[in-house]
Amino acid sequence: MLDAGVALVVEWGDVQNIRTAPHSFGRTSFMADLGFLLLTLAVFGVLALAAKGAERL
Amino acid sequence: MTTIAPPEPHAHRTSRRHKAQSKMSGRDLLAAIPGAVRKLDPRTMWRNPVMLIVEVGAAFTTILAIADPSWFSILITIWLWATVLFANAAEAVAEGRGKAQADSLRRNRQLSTAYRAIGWVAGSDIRAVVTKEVAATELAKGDIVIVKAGQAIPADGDVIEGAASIDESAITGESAPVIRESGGDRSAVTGGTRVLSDAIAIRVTQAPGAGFVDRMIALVEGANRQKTPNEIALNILLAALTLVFILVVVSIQPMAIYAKLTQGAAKDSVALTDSGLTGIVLVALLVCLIPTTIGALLSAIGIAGMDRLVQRNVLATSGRAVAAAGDVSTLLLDKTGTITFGDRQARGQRPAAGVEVEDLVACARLASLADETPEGRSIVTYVESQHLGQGDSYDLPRLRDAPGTERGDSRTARSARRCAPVDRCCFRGRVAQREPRRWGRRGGHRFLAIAGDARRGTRRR
Amino acid sequence: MTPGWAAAAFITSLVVAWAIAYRFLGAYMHRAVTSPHHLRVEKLTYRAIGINPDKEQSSAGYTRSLLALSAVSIVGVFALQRLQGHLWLADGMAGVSPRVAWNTAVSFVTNTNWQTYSGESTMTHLTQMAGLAVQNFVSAAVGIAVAVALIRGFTRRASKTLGNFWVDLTRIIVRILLPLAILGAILFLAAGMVQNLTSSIDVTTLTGAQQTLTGGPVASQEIIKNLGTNGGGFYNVNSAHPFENPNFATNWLEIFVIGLIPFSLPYVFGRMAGDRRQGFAIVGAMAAIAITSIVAVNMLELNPSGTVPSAIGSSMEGRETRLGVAGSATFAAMTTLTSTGSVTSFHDSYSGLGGSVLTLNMMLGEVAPGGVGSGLYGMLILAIITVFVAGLMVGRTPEYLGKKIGPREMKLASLYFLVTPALVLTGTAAAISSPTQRSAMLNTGGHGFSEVLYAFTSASNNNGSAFAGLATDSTWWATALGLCMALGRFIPIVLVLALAGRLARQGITPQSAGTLPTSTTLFAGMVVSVTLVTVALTFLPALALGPLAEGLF
Repeated sequence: MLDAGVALVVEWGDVQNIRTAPHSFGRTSFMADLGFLLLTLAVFGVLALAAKGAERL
Repeated sequence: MTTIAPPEPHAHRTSRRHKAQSKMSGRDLLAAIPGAVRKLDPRTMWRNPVMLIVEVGAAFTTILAIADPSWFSILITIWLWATVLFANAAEAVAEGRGKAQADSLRRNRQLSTAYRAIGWVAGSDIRAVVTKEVAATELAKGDIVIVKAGQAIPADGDVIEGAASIDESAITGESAPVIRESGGDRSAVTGGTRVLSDAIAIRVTQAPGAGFVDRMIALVEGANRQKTPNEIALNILLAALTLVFILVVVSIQPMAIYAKLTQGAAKDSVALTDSGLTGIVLVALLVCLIPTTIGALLSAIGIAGMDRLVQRNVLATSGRAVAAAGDVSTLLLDKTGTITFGDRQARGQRPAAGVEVEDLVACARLASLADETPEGRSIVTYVESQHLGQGDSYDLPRLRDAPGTERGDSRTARSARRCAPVDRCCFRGRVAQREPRRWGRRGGHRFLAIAGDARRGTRRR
Repeated sequence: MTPGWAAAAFITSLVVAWAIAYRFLGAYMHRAVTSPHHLRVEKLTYRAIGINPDKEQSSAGYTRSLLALSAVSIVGVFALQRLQGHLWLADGMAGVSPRVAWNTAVSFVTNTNWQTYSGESTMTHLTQMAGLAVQNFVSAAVGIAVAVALIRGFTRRASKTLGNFWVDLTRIIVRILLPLAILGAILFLAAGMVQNLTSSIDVTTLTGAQQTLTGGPVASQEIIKNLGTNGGGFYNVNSAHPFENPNFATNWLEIFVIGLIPFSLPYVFGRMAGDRRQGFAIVGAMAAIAITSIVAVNMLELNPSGTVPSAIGSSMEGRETRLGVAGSATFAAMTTLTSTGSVTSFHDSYSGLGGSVLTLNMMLGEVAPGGVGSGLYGMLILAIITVFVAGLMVGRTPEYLGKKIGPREMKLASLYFLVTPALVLTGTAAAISSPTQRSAMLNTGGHGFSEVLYAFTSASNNNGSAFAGLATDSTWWATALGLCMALGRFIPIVLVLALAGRLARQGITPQSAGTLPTSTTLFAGMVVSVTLVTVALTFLPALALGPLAEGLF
């Protein structure tokens, strides 16, 4: 039973094709990291403005 | 909420006008078509976003139909323009009805002449001042006019010299004349009222076009129509739905292109080609999805709401009033109710089931003996002219000297209580509520319910 | 017992269990949220955070606290994933790539738990426990807190405050989520789920090959994954993995736990409003849609029409043999109806119509019963719109629970209604129109389109399940879906809190003869109609090009 389950898992894992490349934190990834942090700030800035607008509505 | 009735001296005309205006004639519709076409101006349509989108769509399909004519495109174009025109026609018809009422109001408004004072200085003698006769419409704000006894006040203003008694029943419904004098807080006068005695000098504060009755006319005509809160909220919901569906239609284009791409066997058609859905089909889909019907008829419904109230001689001065009028089931008015011309005279009596005419008449006379208003005095006069002389079987206490009879609503109740010594007086409380409704249908007559039970002092129309 | 009857019994047992939970868990949650006493643990927490628990916040303050917490959480989880290679329990794994880290951080903080990664081979145990599992609790609590704030908006009169966000958050975690999670985890362990902290083991299989089995703290993750309608499983294949869902009993338990809090929150609503029938009406509307959907998916899957299923005898592609078709179908329906997103089977393998029902479940806006908290506030917004439309039909001023629904309230409710379709349709159109993004699809044609549509629907509704043919770990996809998740979660929250603040400031209008009764079956039916009609109108064109086209031809 366990073996059958494991076999299926392996098979699905391949079909999924969702393996991600590992990536250490370092100089090469700095731009990507900064980009995502700024994106987060931007999204929450928009949300804060939306909150103020909704209050004023 | 304030409701003011336009003055209407002839009662019979109401019921006839009711019937005339409740059916829409073909003539109304034809008369509205030029108005409908005029409303196609985008600046007017801007107020109604849903119909504006339909109009833009119609224009777009017209261009497409001209570029690539086919039965399909021409029919769709005609259909879209018909939709827009119909919406405008509905609004024009609704406004047209309001115009009829406004015209009748204008006719009722007394076009009087005014006597403008020349060379007025503070403290001048009213009788000695030189005046020039002008039409009331030529008056401007700040003009001084002299109004003598028997003349009508030409415009809204402030009394700056003199004191006079004025009959304001046309505007306020108060049948007793009021004193207006310069200085103090009783100096404001309204255009259209009549001076009964003495003479006064008035400074005009509202040019005739902006006077009280003129504002009523503007409201009825729908020029300054205020939207009801529900209408505003519904407009918001419609706008949101419209936005969503514009999004749906816009986003379906790439999806359709992809679908056509993967289904190579599908043939090109009027609706779908290799570059996606055709513009005509997209516009038609959009018009079907957005709430076109409601958007088209909403303003017409708003105007019609005001119009229905006006048909019953009730003028709603705000949008909220129209909505509230739908919730009203009982109207309670005090004695100086603002529904009538303000000068009621007794004309007849109707005893309820189980009540003798003599008892009713005796109670009515007793109740009104101490009433100083013209209405009360008319009741006493009527009763005495009709019934008294059938013997002095009535015991008439001298109510005029009775303590506690001052002006006020409870006077009727208190006088009625004094009816108690007379046998079988008046009718029982509950009956009083049913019968006047039956009588009231005959239109035009006002009924005064006399109740022997002191607890019921309400008057009914 | 035929499969049909077995499925019917399965569903009925779940419904009965939820009905019992509605009454008792609902009462417990009501007490937890409204009691004036603070537990000692909570008092310590408040002192540590530095807030005064008796000071209430206005709706603006509440929103600010919520957004601040979420922003810090996203940044924190992002940093944790990027640096995980240098921290404890690394077990040889390096840091996660930036786009996946960001996508995962946003996804877990927004209660979506969309996983563009394979859990057991990407995340270290530390990240799973300290980052992801913690966010499972916090995001669930945030959802419930917003729902409670909205209920307070309805029940308070002329009040400028909506409660204290930090107090609500702490109370919900300490009094509701943690006890239930501990209890549930123990039940799961008893039923056979895995829970350890060992590193991976190498085994030799029956056929002689070598396999690496990863263990880990699975049961503790499982319970909160389902209880908080999160959906992020420990393993890549989520609840299809035998360690995450070993047998029939755990499957039943997982489905039950998914619907537990969402079906019980309306009781809190009714109780706080002072009229339990209001809660009945809401839960009735939710249950009507939910049960219809579950039955529909079961029927569609138990009577398949494709070539392969007819040859085999049942549609077993993508399903686990130990769970069966009915068990998987029910799980799939429940997971798309709430905003959970965990899967025991591959939704990509469902029949055309079955898959479209699953997609439709999500498109309803996750209101039947929806995610913890988000289902209730979504349903209440729909109820407000229904009250408005019904009030106009009858000619009365629309009021809900004594609060007038005027133009401003309608503005907020309408904007709420706009958000999800805007995100789903814009995203799908953007993806479909560009060939590079289209290449992420596994299948072509209608089915491929369904994959894309499903992905954006799942992200915007914070569901997190996937049609699983789509390769979404490219930067474009990770960013697009991440944005959909963040905006799809927080813009509605901002609108709901503003609406709650506005309602709380109103006084209550007493009921009159003209008030529309909102606790009747008629009203519940109208809410269902409004939900279905508005969703159908918005998404029918998109559905017609994808799942429906596939299912009908």
